[in-house]
Amino acid sequence: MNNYLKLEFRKNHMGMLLFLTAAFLGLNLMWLMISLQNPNESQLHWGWMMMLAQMPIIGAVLSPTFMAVIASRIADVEHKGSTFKLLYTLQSRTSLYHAKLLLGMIFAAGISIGQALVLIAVGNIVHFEGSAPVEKITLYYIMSFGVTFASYLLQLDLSLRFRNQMAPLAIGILGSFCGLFVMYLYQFRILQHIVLWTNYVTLSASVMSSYDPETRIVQYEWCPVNWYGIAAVGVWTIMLYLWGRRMAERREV
Amino acid sequence: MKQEWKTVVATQNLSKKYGNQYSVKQINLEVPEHAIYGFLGPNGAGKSTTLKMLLGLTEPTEGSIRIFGKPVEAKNRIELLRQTGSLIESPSYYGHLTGEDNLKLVAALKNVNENQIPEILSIVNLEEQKTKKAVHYSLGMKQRLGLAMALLGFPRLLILDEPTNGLDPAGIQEMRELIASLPGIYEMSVIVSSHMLSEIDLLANYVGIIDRGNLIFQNSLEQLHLQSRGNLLLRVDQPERAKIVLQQRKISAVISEGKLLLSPMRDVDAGRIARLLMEEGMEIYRMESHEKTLEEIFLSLTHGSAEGSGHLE
Repeated sequence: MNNYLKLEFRKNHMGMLLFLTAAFLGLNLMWLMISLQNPNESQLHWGWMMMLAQMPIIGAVLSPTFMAVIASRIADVEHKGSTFKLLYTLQSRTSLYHAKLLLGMIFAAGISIGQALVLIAVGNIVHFEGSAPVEKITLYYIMSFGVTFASYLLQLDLSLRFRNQMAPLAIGILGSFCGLFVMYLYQFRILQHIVLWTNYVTLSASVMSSYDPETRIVQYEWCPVNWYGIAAVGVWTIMLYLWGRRMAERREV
Repeated sequence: MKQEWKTVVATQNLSKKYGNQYSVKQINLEVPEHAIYGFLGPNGAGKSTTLKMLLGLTEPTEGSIRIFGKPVEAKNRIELLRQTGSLIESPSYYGHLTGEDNLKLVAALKNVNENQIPEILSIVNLEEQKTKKAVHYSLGMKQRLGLAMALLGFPRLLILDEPTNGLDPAGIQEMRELIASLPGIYEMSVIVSSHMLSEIDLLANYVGIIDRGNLIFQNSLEQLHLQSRGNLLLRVDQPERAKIVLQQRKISAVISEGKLLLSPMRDVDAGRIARLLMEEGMEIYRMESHEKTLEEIFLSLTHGSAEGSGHLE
């Protein structure tokens, strides 16, 4: 498998993929910096918790779209060159699927670590009160990685299935918006778990606990670990993996 | 006398069904070792589907495949296929990589030493373009790159599906010469499919003809040519009377464009017929044997179905 993963690095346009990753993290940084252009006292006081409550929204908007683009490029390199009919005579269908899955996993892990570092960097630049809650940030981004990886799996399965990459990309973008919409349906907790992309929020490390419109004072609180959310993402991951693997095994070219 | 061959590929009742329609129906291929097996048939006859089944790219609906004497199963498929090279329909390549980098990738997948690459590039005449990105190759160069990938590791069996498609006449000639040289120089067995009779005639020494999914002929090219033994054409002064005279002696004859057309026969029988007609007082102006072209043989084998099922050149 190690050898097949190395080949994935060699055959993909790694320069372009790394550029896209840098652009994605740059966009994250820009979003945070713009939202904290003139921070008030309350924002500086609640800074870390506020950011950890905001990051899931940024994650739900940007991460699935980014992973859709990555999956599309990783699959399209084979579609464009009609290489499946060559590869399937030299390696098993599942080994190719696993190599692509691992490559995507590296990118999902990379952006999760990158997003955590961006958050810490922004907090330090803006001078939030107190030190960075590294434990909470780490825990959130481990869970966020789970959602990002599951969304990558969905995109990879679709991108391998369809030669035209517009359909999988459209599904990725629609998924992001669907995730955002369901995020505000607080009364439908189960639905929030069922919609994969909303789990960026259900697994959030902190949440706004009160808001006073007169004083505009916002308060936040830490969230306990949401085991239902973790289970939902786990089920999604297993289902998408089995579906993709089955498609790869049965694929005729 | 029939030549004794060792078989590198053998199929038994190999079939592929899409819905209720057979694309390939119970074919029993036998590809002799070190032969160039021409797999001939009109477009849509089932050539590509058959080759894809051999390579595990398409799952057979029924039947079995043996390669190098071993049954092809899920557990040994890749191991067996690594001893083969293939070029199916169009070449596979990574456009953003150079020709040489493409070959390095395939070498890694085949577990073949990269030292072979310069030799392979020289065989397919791509040394000059090895640093060029594959996307900028001409169609002929891409086809040669595809062949180079297939040749890496000097496999025992090469499976080529219409390898001259899209090439210009010079490219076709070059590709044909290259393929023809492979069994002699590298001891390879080659299966090459084509819808062009002339190409198979020039290239192959063993032929399988497929039509609408059925294997209708399989033997050496020599045997195929033997079927070209022609009808006897007679030009006489009284064709109607000649026909009656021959029919009285139970020799069937038809009149076509004023000439008598008789079934293929030995020279000695042709001589007897000539003598008989002359004894009956008829003048014989011309006697000729009408040799069948390969196309006519093909059409007679398929009972003219080639017209309906696809295009044969």
